Amino acid sequence: MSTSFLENFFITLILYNLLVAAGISIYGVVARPSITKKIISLTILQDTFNILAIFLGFKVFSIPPVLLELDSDIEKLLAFTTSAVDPLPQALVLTAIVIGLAVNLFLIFLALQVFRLYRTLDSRKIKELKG
Amino acid sequence: MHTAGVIPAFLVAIAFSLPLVYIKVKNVRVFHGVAIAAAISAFTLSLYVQHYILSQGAPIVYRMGGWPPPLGIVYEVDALSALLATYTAFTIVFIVAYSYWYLGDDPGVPYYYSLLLGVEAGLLGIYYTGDIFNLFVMLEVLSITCYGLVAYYRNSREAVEASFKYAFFGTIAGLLYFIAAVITYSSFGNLTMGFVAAYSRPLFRYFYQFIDLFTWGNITGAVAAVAALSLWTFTFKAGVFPNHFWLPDAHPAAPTPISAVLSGLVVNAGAYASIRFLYTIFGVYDPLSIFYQLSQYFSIVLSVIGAISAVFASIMMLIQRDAKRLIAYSTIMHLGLIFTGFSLGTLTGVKASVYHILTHAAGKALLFMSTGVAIEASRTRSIADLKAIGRLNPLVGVSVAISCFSLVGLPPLGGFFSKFTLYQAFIEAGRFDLVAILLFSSGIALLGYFKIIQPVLFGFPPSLNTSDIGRFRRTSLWASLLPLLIVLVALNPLVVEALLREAAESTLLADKYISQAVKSFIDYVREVQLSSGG
Repeated sequence: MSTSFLENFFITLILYNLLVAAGISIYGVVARPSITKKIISLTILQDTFNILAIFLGFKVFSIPPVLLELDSDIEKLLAFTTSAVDPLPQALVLTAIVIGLAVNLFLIFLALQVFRLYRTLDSRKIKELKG
Repeated sequence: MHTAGVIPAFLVAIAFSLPLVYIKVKNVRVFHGVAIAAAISAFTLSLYVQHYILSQGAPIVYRMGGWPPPLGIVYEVDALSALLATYTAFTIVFIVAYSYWYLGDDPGVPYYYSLLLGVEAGLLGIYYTGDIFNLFVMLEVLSITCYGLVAYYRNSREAVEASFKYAFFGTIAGLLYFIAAVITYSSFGNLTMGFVAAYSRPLFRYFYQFIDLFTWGNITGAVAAVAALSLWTFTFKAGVFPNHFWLPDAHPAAPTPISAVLSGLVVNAGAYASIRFLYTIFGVYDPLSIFYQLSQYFSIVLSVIGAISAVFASIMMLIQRDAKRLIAYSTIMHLGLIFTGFSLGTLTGVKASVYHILTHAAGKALLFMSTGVAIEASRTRSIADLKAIGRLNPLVGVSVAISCFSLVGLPPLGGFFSKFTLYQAFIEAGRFDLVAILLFSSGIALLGYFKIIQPVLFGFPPSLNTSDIGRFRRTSLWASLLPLLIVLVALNPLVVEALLREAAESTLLADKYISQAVKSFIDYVREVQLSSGG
């Protein structure tokens, strides 16, 4: 009883958190004029999606996906697979974090270069291109 | 078949070693040599892969690190991906030759080639990969190198702003594809293209229970979400209508050879990935697939965005004052036509799309490169001030004219035959609205191209001193423009019909693609059984 209540509670909490974080970050990306705040919102959006991916492989009260005995019988294996978290989303997220690191560094460098050339980071004033 | 797995890794290794070698070797000519050697070797290897696939008659599967398909990452190369990869590697050889002419002794050359070879690695990786998540990684390799190349002139306001716009929205597009990959994994339980394709066909439906956390078990809804999210990303990469806004800024801001790469080759990756997702993986257009009911929606969406981008971009071409922006808008128009081609879901439609990808790539690369020579000679990108470089080096004038005529679709050139195949496909499918859009946008675009042809062929001769005139008659210019000119003439159905038919059939019927992936898994199990003595 308590397990299922806690499970529901956590899942609902995480889902609402993700929704709110995605909403805030999309607002920041679209509506904020400052390039710095746009980049910060983008990193929040990346982390939201990463947590969503982790969340798919997650189970409440689970064990790490490490099999300690190789020659265990089929009962133990079944118990292991039903209680262990799915490691693949974590691997995907690790890759996505590394890629996000590269992209964010590049964006920050570009923002620095924009500031050097325009002396401002207000995206309303950086409008040499027509689109 | 290790060659397919070696090519992207080889290119990435060379790309990373170039800045390290620059610490010791300060002569930038060395790097031009290394880059052209790497490009030629990549082309030779991809040609070998294509020859192997065509002689074998089935796709090949390369297991990364020896792990079998549903568990590990695989490369799966079929006729379509091999054709596009070989063609890309072929075109990049001449773009590197042009870079030698364009950049010369520029001190940024090692970094430039580091990024250019990264672009090639990303493109070949996208074409070769058989794994949905590996496609994301390769897409990001491609994107990051492209952002860097757009910002190559880092002290130019235009380049930095265009690159920021491209990188910022490109990152959001990449995130959407990441979510699509995650939803695929949560519904199908694996990320191998061949196995997801197998589960989409009814034979496997009875062996496999879909789990889905997003749409509460409704697998069709999950696939619709995945296809919509990933198509958003692919249309961004291809620069098709709702996501075209970055393209006319980013393509002109880059150095001219990079404009040729971006406009001719990088946008094709988006079109290829859309074809791969819709046709092979989910089989939206395959009557045997359980997602066949989605085909009507995707037909409508793809043909509408393709038609809008064709008409919109052809009209935008008329009001441009900047030569490179005009050519960039022409790219949006042609990608729109390619998307309408494969929205039909017929064999001729896919064949026409692939054919148009080939002719557009050669024509656009040649047009950017030859117009780039005129821009260098007149030291401005404004169309009104372009000088008649055609009087100094007739090859450049002929290249501008021939590539424009091919893009418009004048008869003896490749562009005519690809547009004619598109026309046939529309007629076959009874889509007369698309026929009207094809003819209308081509007619409008002809007026746009004449704005470039007129000054380059018949304008005032450029005022240059003697040393500069020598620059515009170099052998490297001939070596880069002439082969693409020959390709444009040679791309007629007599030469490429068999290749295109093979590519379109392997796309439309995914059975060989699926069976090769499954066979690779069975082979692995046999190997394990044999080695353990069972």
